[in-house]
Amino acid sequence: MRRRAFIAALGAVAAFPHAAAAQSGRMPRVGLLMLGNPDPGLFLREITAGLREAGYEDGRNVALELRNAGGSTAQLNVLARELATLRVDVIVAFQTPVVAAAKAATTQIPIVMCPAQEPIELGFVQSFARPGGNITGMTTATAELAGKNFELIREVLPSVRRVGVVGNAADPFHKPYLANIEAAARTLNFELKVALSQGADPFPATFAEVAGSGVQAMTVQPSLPRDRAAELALKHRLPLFVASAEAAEAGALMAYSADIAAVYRQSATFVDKILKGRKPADLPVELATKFRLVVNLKTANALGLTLSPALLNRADEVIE
Amino acid sequence: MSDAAPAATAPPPPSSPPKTRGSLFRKYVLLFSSIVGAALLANGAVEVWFLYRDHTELLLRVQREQAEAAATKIGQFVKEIEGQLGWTTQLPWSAGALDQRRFDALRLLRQVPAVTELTQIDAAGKERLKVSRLAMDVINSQNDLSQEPRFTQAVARRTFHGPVYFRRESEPYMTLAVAGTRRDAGVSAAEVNLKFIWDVVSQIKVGNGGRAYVVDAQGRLIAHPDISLVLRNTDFASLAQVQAARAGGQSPERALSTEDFQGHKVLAAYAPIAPLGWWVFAELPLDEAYAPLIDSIKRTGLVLLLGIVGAILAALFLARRMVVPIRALQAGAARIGAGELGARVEVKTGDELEALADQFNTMSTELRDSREREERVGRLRRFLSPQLAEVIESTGADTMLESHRREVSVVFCDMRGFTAFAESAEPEQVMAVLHEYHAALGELIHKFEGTLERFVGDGVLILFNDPIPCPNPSERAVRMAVEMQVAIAFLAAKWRALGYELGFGIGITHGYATMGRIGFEGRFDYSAIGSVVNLAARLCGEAQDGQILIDNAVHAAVAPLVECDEPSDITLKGIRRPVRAFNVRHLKALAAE
Repeated sequence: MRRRAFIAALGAVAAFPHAAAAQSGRMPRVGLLMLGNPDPGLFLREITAGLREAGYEDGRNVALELRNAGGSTAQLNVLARELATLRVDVIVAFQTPVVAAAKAATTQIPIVMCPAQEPIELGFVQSFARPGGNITGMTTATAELAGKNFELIREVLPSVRRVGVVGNAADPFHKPYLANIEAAARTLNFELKVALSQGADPFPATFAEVAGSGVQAMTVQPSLPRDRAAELALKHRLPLFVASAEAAEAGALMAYSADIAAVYRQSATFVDKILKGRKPADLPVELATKFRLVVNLKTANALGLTLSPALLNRADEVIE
Repeated sequence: MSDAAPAATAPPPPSSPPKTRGSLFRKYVLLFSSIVGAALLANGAVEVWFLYRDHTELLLRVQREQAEAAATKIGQFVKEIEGQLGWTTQLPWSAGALDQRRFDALRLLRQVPAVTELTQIDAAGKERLKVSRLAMDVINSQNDLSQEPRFTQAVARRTFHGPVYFRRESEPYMTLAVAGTRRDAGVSAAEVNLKFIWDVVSQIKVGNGGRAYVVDAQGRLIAHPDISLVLRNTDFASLAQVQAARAGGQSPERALSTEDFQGHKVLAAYAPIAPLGWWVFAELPLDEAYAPLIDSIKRTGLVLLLGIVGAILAALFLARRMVVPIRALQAGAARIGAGELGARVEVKTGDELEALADQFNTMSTELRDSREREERVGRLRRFLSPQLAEVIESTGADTMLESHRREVSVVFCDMRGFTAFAESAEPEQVMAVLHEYHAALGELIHKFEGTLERFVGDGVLILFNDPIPCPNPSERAVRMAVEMQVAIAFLAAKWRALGYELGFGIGITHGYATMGRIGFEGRFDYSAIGSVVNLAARLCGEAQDGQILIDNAVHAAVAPLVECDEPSDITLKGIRRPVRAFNVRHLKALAAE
């Protein structure tokens, strides 16, 4: 009897290393899904830094599955389904259109919004406090901030009457975005020229169309290509205001937005919690807490604009 | 100690099996180890108890201090915002000041990230300016806020701390309003995002697995290292520690052992954030809190165990030291009981036991000596009267029996006609006669303290002045001889009636002879050798029945006491010259007295 127990124990000890190896051998996999345009460079840098802060390193204790659709919405859906088929442990979706694509691909795998706008209106979550589904993550109040950017136009360029807006038809967020813009325009007494671009490809043409319609300032939805927008705005000698700090860095005149690097980094804490077994349904959506005004003085000079010292003083970052 | 072992080599006598063996040993071991064990246990228990008390006290104090430090920090956080708000109430409400006020407000937003929205209300309670991080600014809306608590309370008490509310049902916010010092300064009200307190609580390290968190006056969580809990608008009001804080608030203990929201056992300490009615809690898992204590209890237990094992070993050792000599004594006593006198016990413990063993050895030696003396006395009794034997024994003069030369009086006597009688009579008759004869002589030998040297059939040799010296040996010899003649004459008359013709003659001499033991180991005799002995025998041989022949030397000593016949010179066999001999007829009356 005792002997049999001993042999059984021996067998258990012998078998244990295999079980342990099997368990630890399967590294958690994190899918990083992005459309590819706008440029995901900062997002990738910050999210990996955030994961490193939480103790994760690609190839050592986590496998990062990067999927970049190269700007193609069709490809994005394919990649989203691919990650779902791979049964990764969590999908980090860069910006609202990607969250929508991931949501379409899976209702099981947790999805981290990095970030997404108006998650309740767009049906990603039931509430901020209790998302209730497989999606949670960061949001940056970009719709509200669009109004704040209009306020900046009024403050910097008091003479402006007509403002051009390019929305992203491929981004479900464009509706609440445009609604906010229209409300702000009414408050500030702006005349709007709004056009929608179906994703990145027709964007230059759409931008040119709006720019050529006699507007004195421009704004674009942040999920549209930033570099291209800045380039085109400069070409049309129009001041560009975007609710995206990355846009100002890319050459837009100024941007008032969430501290997006901090937002990307903070998304990693959701990945960490989910990998540790928390349910996305119980992880409240977090709103960015830091907001920054970034002013591109180079662009201002190129446009021949003189910015007031008070404004420059207020700016959190001045690009010279 | 090995030298405590008994030297007794003889096997323990079978007559005394040590039935009680080990009982003393067991008693000692049990007693000693239980006394030492109990002392150690008591000491350990007291130590652990004090350890537990001190440790708990220390832990709670540290935690309370942490909670207090956090409360201070959060209090400062709020005070700082109040201070900043105070600055925005400095300007008067004159025309054109709004732009300046807006700049001030924007600067404040830049400087205080926790403030999401700032509203400025004039002295009449009208909203004049609202600056927000997210919403568009509102300038001079003139909304009437004069009935709102943020205005009325601030005006009344200078500062107003609104209740905690949750924006988007998730982010904790609080309204903080400050009235200006000037009468017409109005009120600045800020919406403060309490997520920023997270920075404070997440920096507090309560052990490894502990945490600090903040609840508001209603017990709702407003800051916790796990921000998700806060954003989920978690209610902690049902936790025992929160209830304790809200109920008994200011009790000096402000610490308790309880469970956290997940049901883990924790040690919780708390501190109030005075102006807000909030509470900071510092919680440490009990496992972690008491891990060092349990470690030290384990160490104490190990030391205790070692101590008890040591005590048992010491008890075994001491009991062995005690019991082994006692057993040696027991064995020694048993050997003596079995007749092995002089048995020795070797005990070298240097204490009372050794003294006891020494005494035992002394006793044993004395016992053996006494037995030997008894044996010697028994031997001496063959030569001496009992009292003499005792005297010799008590003087311990074994040397008396050593070979030596001394002047002695020798008495030799035998019966006349005995040889013929012995040949004709039955052996039983011979033995009966000899018995009566010897009994009569023996009594007289003892009476005169003579030394019976030997019996040779009917011949008896008696010495005086050896081995015990006595005064007037010749006189004693003669007196004895006279009484012997009387006694034997009485017997002879009886024998004659029986038809035995037996007489009695005595020869007495005086001179030097050599005395000592002769014989071999196991059979020694005390014997006198010398011509004086031979002469006595020859004189006896010459004596007729009833005669006592004495030589010159004897005669010289007893002449005044006795009446003698005329001396006659007798030629004796083996002696060249004739010997002058006197026959003692009787004692003079004077001497007889």
